[in-house]
Amino acid sequence: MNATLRCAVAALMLSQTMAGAARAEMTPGTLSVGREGEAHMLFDLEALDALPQVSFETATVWTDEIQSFSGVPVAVLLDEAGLSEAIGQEGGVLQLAALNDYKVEIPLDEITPELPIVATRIDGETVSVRDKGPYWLVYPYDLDARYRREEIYHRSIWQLAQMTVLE
Amino acid sequence: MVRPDAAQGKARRRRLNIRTGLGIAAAIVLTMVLSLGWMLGRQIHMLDSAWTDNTQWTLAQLELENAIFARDVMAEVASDTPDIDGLKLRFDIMVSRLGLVRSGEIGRSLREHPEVPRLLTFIDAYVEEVDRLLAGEVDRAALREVYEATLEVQAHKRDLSLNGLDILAEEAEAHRHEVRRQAEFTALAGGLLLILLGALLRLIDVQRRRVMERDRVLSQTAERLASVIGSSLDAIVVVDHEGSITEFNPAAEEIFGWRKEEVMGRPVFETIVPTDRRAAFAERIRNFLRLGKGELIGAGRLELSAQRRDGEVFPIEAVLTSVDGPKGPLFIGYMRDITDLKASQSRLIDARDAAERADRAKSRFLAVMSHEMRTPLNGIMGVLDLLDTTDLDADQRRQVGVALASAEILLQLVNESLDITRIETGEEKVETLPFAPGPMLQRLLSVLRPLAAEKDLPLELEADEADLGTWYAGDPNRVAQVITNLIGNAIKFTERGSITVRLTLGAEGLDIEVRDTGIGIAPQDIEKVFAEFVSRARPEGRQGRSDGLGLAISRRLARLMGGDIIVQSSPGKGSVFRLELPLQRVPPPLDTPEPNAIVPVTESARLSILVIEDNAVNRMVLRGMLQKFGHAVSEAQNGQKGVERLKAESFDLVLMDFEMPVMGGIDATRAIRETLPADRQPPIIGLTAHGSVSARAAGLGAGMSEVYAKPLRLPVLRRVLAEFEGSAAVPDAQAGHAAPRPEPAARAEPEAGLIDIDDFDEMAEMLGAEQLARALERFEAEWREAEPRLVGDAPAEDSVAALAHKLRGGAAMLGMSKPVETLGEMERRAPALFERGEIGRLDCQITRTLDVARRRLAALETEAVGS
Repeated sequence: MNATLRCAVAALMLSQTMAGAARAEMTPGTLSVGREGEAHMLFDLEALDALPQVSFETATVWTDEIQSFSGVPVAVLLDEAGLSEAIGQEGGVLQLAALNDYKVEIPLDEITPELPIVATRIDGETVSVRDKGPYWLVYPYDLDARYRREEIYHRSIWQLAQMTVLE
Repeated sequence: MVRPDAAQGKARRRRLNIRTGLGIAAAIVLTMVLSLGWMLGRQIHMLDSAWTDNTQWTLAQLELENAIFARDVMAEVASDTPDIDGLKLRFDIMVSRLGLVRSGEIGRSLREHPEVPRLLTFIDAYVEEVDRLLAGEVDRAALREVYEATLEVQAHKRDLSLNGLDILAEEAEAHRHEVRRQAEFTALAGGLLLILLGALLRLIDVQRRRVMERDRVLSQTAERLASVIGSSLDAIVVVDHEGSITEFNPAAEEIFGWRKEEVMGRPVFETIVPTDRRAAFAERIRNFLRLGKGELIGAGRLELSAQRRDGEVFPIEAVLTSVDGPKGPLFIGYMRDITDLKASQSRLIDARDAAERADRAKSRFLAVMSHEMRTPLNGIMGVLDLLDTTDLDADQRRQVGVALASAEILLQLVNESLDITRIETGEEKVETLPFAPGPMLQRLLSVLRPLAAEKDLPLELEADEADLGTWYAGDPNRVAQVITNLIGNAIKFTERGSITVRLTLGAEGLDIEVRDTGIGIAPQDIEKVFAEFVSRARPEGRQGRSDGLGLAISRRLARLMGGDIIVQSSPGKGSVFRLELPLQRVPPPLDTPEPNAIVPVTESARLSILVIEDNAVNRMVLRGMLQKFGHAVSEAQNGQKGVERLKAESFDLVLMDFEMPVMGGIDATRAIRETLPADRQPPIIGLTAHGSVSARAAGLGAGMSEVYAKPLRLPVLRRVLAEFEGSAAVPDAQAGHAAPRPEPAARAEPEAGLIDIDDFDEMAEMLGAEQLARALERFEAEWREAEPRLVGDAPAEDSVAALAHKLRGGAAMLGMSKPVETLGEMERRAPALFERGEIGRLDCQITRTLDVARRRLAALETEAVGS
């Protein structure tokens, strides 16, 4: 995570303009989903709420109490964006970007129909940017030890703004 | 003895406990090491994780982001078209970063630090300030203020960052410390484990050595055992619970003829058990397995038989034991071939049997000899007796006396050898007659003197002249027998010197000492000389008369007479045998009649007597004697002729010899009793030359009235005849000699025929009144008991004859002549039974007879007290 983040920060510092261009796309409250080099589909909260919801309770290493997270599975979003063939595709990755241009990648074949989810609400409430909102990619960490791995923590990107399928 | 099993068991248990304890400890330590290792691994893994780095970076990022935000703010200030919304978003994102130090894992660590809350308060104030500045219309001045505030908070953020790093460093240190401690623990536990494993290893090694030592001892023991078994002289065969041979030692090979390889594993009952015992043997093994014990197992030495390979069955001596084996009991047999032993045993038994046969032959020989000697003696003594009754001058009479005394000694020798005197009554009997000991000893010495003279030994009598005329009541024949014996012995054991017989008379009895100057007797041997069949060793000289019985019989006779024989002796000097007799002194007969004068019976009392005897001399002697008494005598030469004679003619009395050609006395008596009519049943007196009790029993059993041993002496004959002569028939020639007898007053009574007064009196004298009364009671009881069975209620008819015979015997002994007759009739009629009437009459007869007998007994007692 650190390496990636550092890289992202370095990029941020080196190219102001590019960052500004990129930032224009990343509007808080809008999630853009698409394939690299193609048009992205945008989802606002209302659109996300219209999709099938998944919720679970769990603690996280970043927060103190057990909280209830609810939102749309990544697979559902990809499907909705017409990228259903990408789910479970071997070799491909899904790049996720935060509002501050922080980026992580998840191998496509590790995305299951239900997990991870893009949480839109914590304890039933929408989340502000200051509280790592509005969208937060989460796993049910308490459910299984395999979700308490460093790699999973690393993927749990907050202030999520963009999901791009990379070939 | 200490029980090694228990001690070993205890030690084994202790070692087991130690081993178990060590094992458990090692397991615990191992678990500890593993868990410590796992924890250590986890710690290391945690160290490996990026969290600390990540936190450091996050903290560092706080300051950096602040710097970047300040720069961005300045950029917007400088810009013509400041992007306020973008700035707000970046501010929000920067603020969201602060959330990391407030909550979550990083927040929890930082909150511990005392400085952090204060710093956070400053930062919060800054956030509030910026929010306020950006909330309204954002102009350049506001941006400038934001910029300055951001620069201002920069230092706090740095402090926060630095504090966080300190904390993290401390934490890392603590963590490292923890890890080190854990590592130390682990190392310690590992060391402990190593020590434990070492101890365990050591223990196992000790055990191994011990096992090896035990193994060595065991193998030595096994070797020794094998050597013992191998070199045993006895055959040792071990058989398992199925009967198969598992051990067969060289001795067994030699004895049984099988080689070990041939019999190993084969059933013992197919090899060394004799063919006819095999089934029984297998059965025994099964029984043992079922019951846990057997008749032969552990029963000590047994004599069994076994079979060799060639089929020969031979005797063995065996000890069989059983021990626990791996699958069941093992049977061990230790066996010895005792064929030779058995053979020598049977040779010994044969030898013993031969010796016994020889002994019996000797006895028979003695008996025959006694018969052969007695027959001629009968002639000699009879003739001398007869001669003595004739007119003789004093010299002749003395010569006859010496001849008679010599003959008597000879007769005693014969009698003694078989203890013949018993035959007369079935038991030893002592007579009581008046006799003068002095003259008796003089006669005896004159007879024995020639014997002593042979060895040049003077034989002298020492007695007071006055004592020679003193009379005592006693049994002169017995006394003479004893003294003869003692003098005979003295002569036998004396080579030089003299033999002196000393007579000492007293008021209460008399002593007769026989003193010799012979070899004497050692003190320890004195009592032994009275034991039967013991002869003192003689240094040399002629074989005297010694059957080893003499002294034993002498002492018995002395005691029978109420006295004893006492010995004083010193080896080399001589012995004194003293006969002490407590005899009553009696006045000498006033007028001693001619000793053997015989007055013939009157015509009316004359008896017709048949003498059945094969020996002509004896017939002649008997005839002479009987004729002297005035009786009519007929003769028959054997039993056959006697029976014929009785058929033709009736006699008052029969004298019957036992041993005759053609038909013996027993057979003849039986023939007479069985075939002749009741009115031809004279009393039969048996005369036997066989000195044995069985001869008497046989005679009585055949139906004889009485049995006497030959030679039949005149006085005895006189008594015998007196029983059959009429009451007044014979003046009792011996009346003067005999102890006063009560006058047979009962003879005149009507019951006179019921009982024979003489017989009865004699019995009374012999038994004593008390015993006779008891005998009468016994007879009565016998009769009462027998009576119902004689009437015909008897379960077996043949017992009638036996019963009648038994009763007749009892009645005869008691002199109950009439019942004897009736019972004899009953016995002859058996198995035909008496009628009830007849039994009634017999009962009446017996009751009356008993009555008469008791009255007679009472009369006798009164008279005895009166005299």
